[in-house]
Amino acid sequence: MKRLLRVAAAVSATTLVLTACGSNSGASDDSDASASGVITADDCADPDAATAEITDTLKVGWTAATSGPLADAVGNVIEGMEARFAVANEAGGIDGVKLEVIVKDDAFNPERAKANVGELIQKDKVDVLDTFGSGQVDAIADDQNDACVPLLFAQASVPAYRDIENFPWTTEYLPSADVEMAVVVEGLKKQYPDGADVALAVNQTESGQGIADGFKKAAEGTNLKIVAEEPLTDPKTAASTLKASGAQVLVDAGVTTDCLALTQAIARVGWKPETVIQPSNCADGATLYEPAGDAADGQQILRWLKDPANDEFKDDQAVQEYLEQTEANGADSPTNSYTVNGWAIADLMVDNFTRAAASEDGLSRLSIMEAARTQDYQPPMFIDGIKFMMSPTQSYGILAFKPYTWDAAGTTFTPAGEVIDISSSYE
Amino acid sequence: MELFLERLITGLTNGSIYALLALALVVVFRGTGTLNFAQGELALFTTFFAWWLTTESIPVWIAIIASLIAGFVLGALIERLLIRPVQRRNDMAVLIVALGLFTGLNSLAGLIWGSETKIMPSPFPNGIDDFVSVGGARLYFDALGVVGALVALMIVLTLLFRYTRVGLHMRAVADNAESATLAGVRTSRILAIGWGLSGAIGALAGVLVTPLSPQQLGLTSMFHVFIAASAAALFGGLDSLTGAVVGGITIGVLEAMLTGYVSFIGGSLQQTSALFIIVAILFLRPNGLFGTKRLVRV
Repeated sequence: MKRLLRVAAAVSATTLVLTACGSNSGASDDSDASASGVITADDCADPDAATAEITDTLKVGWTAATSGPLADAVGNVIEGMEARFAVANEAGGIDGVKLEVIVKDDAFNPERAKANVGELIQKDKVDVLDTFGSGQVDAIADDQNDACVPLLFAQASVPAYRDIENFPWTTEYLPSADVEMAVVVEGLKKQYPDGADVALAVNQTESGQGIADGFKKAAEGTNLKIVAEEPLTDPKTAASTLKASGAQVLVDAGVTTDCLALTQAIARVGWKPETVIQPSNCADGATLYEPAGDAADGQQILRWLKDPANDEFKDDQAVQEYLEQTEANGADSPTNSYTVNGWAIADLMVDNFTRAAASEDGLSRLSIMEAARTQDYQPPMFIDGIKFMMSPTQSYGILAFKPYTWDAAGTTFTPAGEVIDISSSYE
Repeated sequence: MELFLERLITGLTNGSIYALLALALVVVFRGTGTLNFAQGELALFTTFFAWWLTTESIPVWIAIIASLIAGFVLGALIERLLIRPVQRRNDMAVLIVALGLFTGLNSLAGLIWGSETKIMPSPFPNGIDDFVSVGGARLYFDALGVVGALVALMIVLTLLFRYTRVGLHMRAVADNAESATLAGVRTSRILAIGWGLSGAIGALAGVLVTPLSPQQLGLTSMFHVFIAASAAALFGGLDSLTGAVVGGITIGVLEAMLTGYVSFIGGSLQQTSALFIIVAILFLRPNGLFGTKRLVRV
């Protein structure tokens, strides 16, 4: 089915962006006019269902791996979300509408994710969907777009689903590799004004290739020269080959499981590049850096979330409230980055639901999606100065990062500069 | 030259890891005539057990010995409670039970210990400076430890199969269980010992392998090792200890060299290309390079 997104006329769109950019933190700009007309229910399988007002309970349906190797990570995300929703429900819900989370296990199998989403839409009648994994989004995007059930803040970063025209009812939470690598290159240009040789270690998945391609694109026209590129299938073999290149900078275009492995591999071949850049998905210091000891010292990473375990945020009011509320609402690992992510995603959803409820049409799937497409909001657990920004012309969400380096002696990340914001390039 | 040596050492280390688990597969096959598809996950389970003991402040060597005992008991129990009842019916049922164990043991480990990556301490010195230099390449003591364990295990198993009554009985049962029983061999006991022994060897492989593994200790740590170990065992003919070791090291070195020197193969085809070469060898020699040719009386 052909899906139509009626992007507002150029003047209206510009107005929307300018309006959205006006806010700093707290709730997104809640102008009703900014949301209406961005998206339509005309081509939905059941347009009336998409515009029907949600009363009593708003159901968020998850398909994710609650069994298998990713079960802990997914479990923490969902616990973070449930804790944030519990806080919202205690405060009266969304104009009296209570929030509920329904979870179905897909064992990280996209086929099961597709079946789960069919059940969540048809049987459980969920109002919003969420998922964990690029394969999952691939499997469910067509179905949820046909049914016009918003898939909000999917834990994935696949470029295809940032296409508003083809997937108007889908948004992703994780930062785009292109955006992240553009920020990395900005940082490297400042660190090496005369240029530098760069080695790329690339995971042979869509995620890894996306990071590598993002870096190459961002490095074009700069004096950063890619002198070696190796697959991360065997990190030890990759480390030997990359070491021989003599590069000053090593960029890990990998997934979470590669971070510690590559660090240990380069240490064991006796290579200490001047600069090692880890991807933002390698955010957990305790499991991905601390076991490597001195070998991980000085590695750089970009972050957007406050780390509740980091002394930098020990006096931060949002972090203190987060820790109190997650503990009070049964989250097992409040300092785990996945739990923080779950809380932040729920926070973004609550912002959307609140604005949707305040709109002329009231709280409906359509108004929720309209709100999601015009979001300009800084969740309190985002680092100050970093917002989640969506507009009819871009759906990248996170367009700013703060650089950190790993301090092996202190076993913590330390700030390595101010927030780098490239949102002006995507307006 | 330094780069070549680094790749060679990586290949030999990985190959020794594959060979350790391949030996466990060969022991089951020699003792019972069965390929144990759950071998990798059995090793994973006992490694999680050893890791858990170390978190309870138990020294790593004692944790390893405890995991070897646990591996033996678990292997023997699996044979007694799950394999034996179905083996009487047909061999296919044994394969299905083993596949069930593959997923069951993995899920059980996840249920008990969680799915987050664990750091299994190495029984050998494994700091960044714990190496000897060979032509500029680094040969780490923990990698040497794995090679040493492999050599020691080979010697023990060779002595067991050649010079002990249990070893003789295991060979007899694998060759023809009915004839062995008629000759007075307590077949059921021998089968349990065979599975128990392979469980213990797998446990040894697991605790030595995971500190060296890029993935450390997680629910997927043993998957690739098991695939490569199976290929190594097949390469050697399934019933040859020497063949398993040669097969494991061949695959390890091939993987490292192909990834390093054949750029168009790259990472995505690295494992496939190594297995392709194994299949080619098996095509030319169906019993593997070291396998015993089976004779059928007509």
